[in-house]
Amino acid sequence: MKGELEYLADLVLLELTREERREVAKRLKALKSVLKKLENVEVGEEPPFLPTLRLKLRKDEPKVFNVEELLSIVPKVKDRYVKGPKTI
Amino acid sequence: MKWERLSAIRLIEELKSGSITSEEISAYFLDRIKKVDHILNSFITLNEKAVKEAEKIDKDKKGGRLAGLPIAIKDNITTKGIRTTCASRILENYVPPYDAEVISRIKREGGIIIGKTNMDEFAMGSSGENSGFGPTKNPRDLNRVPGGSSSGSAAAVAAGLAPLALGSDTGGSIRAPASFTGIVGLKPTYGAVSRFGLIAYANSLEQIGPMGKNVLDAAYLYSIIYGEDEKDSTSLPSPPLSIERISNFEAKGVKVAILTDLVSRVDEPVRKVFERGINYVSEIGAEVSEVKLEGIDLALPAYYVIACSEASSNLARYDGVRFGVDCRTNLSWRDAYKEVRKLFGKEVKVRIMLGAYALSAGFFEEYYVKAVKVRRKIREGLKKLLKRYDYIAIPTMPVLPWRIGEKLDDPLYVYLSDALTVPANLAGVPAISLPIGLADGLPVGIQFIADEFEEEKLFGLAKRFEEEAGELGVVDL
Repeated sequence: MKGELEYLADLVLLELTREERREVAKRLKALKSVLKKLENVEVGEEPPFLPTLRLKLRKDEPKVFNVEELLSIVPKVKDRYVKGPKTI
Repeated sequence: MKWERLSAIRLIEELKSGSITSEEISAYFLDRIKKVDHILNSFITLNEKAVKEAEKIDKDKKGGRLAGLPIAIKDNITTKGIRTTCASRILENYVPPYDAEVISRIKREGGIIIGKTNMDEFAMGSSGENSGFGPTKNPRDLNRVPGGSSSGSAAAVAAGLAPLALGSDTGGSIRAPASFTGIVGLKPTYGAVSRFGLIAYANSLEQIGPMGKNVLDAAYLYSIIYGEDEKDSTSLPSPPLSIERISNFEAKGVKVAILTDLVSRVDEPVRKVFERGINYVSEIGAEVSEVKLEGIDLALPAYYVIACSEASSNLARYDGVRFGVDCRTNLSWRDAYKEVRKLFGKEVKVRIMLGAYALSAGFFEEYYVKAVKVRRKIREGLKKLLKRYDYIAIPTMPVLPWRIGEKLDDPLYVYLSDALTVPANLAGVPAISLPIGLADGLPVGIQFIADEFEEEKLFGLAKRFEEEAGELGVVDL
């Protein structure tokens, strides 16, 4: 469990203290015991279920920007960080 | 006047008649929160501008359908200019630049956001104990948990700190605390309420829903927040909802199925009260049948695989660059990322790790693919059942609220307590929880499930049931 726990924590970029490692191991073990039931299930060729997702187009016209235009709408650069809209 | 004793609908009538102003009522509830909430810890942030906003509503005389009524909001729903933490230290200082769609709808109808309520961190938990801001207490018994993850919203309504509240439900997070605190909570059909502005835990399962002291209050708030939204591509149009039709609902002859496989697993005190609840269902004229549903015991493992997988992906965005704490350090990218993520609580770390495990090579087919297939089977089974019967009835929670801290060494007990609420999330169908009565002095809830977009029918039966069983009322703290 210890090795697996460390591998998983590193995989998801989490650092656990010693006390946390104990607690997380306990909870992870409990959750994995809940999952055990799935291991013996035969589900066949059943298609997976995903909720309805409909493509909806925005009402406005998509606009193509060139580099100058893109830079012009970024208000400022501070301490190496660009402060501005995240998406256009 | 003890305004907290009145239903939200009655308060709105008072506001509309002019016998009280929005400013007075907002000041009253803010004051009450400041006096009482140190006992419960149900709020994380108060909106100190609430009274000013109420004053403006009074002045402009643009009351809307909420007429200036204060409403508490779960802290994973974004509110422009009001801190939204998700009860996590990683978002401790996050002030959203936009309102969630449900908040815009509430504001449009004259609702006042009175504050942001405590919850399990990132909505991960069933007890309200996993908050980065300390656990919330159950107003019905201060030594016990209020249920989670919408713990603060439920406790605030039950203690009369807010007339109405919004929660969110991924695997029972509205219904579980509603049941433990003796109030009404609805998990709407998947897609009925916009999730735009809901901080994501498990996108394919979660919905925002109303919580109130009684059925009509919850229905009234639902009538304001539901409806298609172009900003949420999973939202869908719903049929119109009428409070009048809900009030006059006739339950005679409706068919209610009891899922015996699930009922057989609940603790004895809960089962006894649930049986009383089934008697009420018969007394209002419904036809009750006992049924079995194959594979329903797989709902819980399937839920945990799907929810944790989606969580591990959703929570990867907390890297200290775009949200919350600032990670500008001299560390490498990898170490800086790890440094920031130290701020996640234990339960969040566990679920991110489990999700990564379920999605990793070698286990993906074994867990994730199986879980989504089991989900389809459960959805089809429930939908088939709901073609033969109008409703499914089961207890909301298999156990009574436990003592705070009592189950910290038994996480399995807590995970298993979600067994009766997760099927509705997996199937995407609506479910409501309302109180039946008390067992050992603690509230026990019944859960009615209906087919997709049948919220009006669900509220209708719940209203008739409530007339028979009675309300538990607010707790005098």
